[in-house]
Amino acid sequence: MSFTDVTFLASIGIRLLVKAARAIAKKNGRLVVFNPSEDARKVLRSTGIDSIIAVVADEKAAIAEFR
Amino acid sequence: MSLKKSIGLLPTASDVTRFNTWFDLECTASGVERRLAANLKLCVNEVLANLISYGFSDTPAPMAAVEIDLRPGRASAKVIDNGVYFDLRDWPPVSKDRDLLTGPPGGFGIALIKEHATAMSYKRIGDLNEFEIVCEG
Repeated sequence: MSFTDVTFLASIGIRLLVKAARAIAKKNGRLVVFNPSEDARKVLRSTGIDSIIAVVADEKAAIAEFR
Repeated sequence: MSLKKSIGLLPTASDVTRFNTWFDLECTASGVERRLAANLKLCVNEVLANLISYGFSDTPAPMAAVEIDLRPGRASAKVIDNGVYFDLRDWPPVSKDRDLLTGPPGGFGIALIKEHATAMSYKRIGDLNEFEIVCEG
């Protein structure tokens, strides 16, 4: 999932990400987020959601997560 | 130099958007550091989201107002509302070790406020809550 256009992330967005990560995990998949802003990255880290989704710098690194 | 302004809000998602637009403009005008503005904006959004979800179940005419005070090195906001008594400082932080794939997914908002605010205070004055958030650094 690209975070390129995400300019603001709060708990409502985190809840949606948790829901998405759970749904994807049920199908043996994994949610990967790439290119978050520094603010978004801090929110992802503060809430602990980076324990269930991968947060990487760019699309190339996101694709590499699946190899 | 300090910039002090206030805005009245209804407890709706569209008014949270209106707050954010107003807040961004005031921060630009004030010259407050971008990081402090971002931290305060997140905290106020979490307080407003909490109010919308839980604050006004028995309130006939819900209202909220946000007063901001922006200056170099310090950004603060008072959120005033006529909802139910709620001091979020009383809520224990959720454990970062919990399993988010299986456990209850709540508590993110309070965790974010506690992480991004430098200081918080709460007063109940008559029928009003007054919650102040300070971001410094």
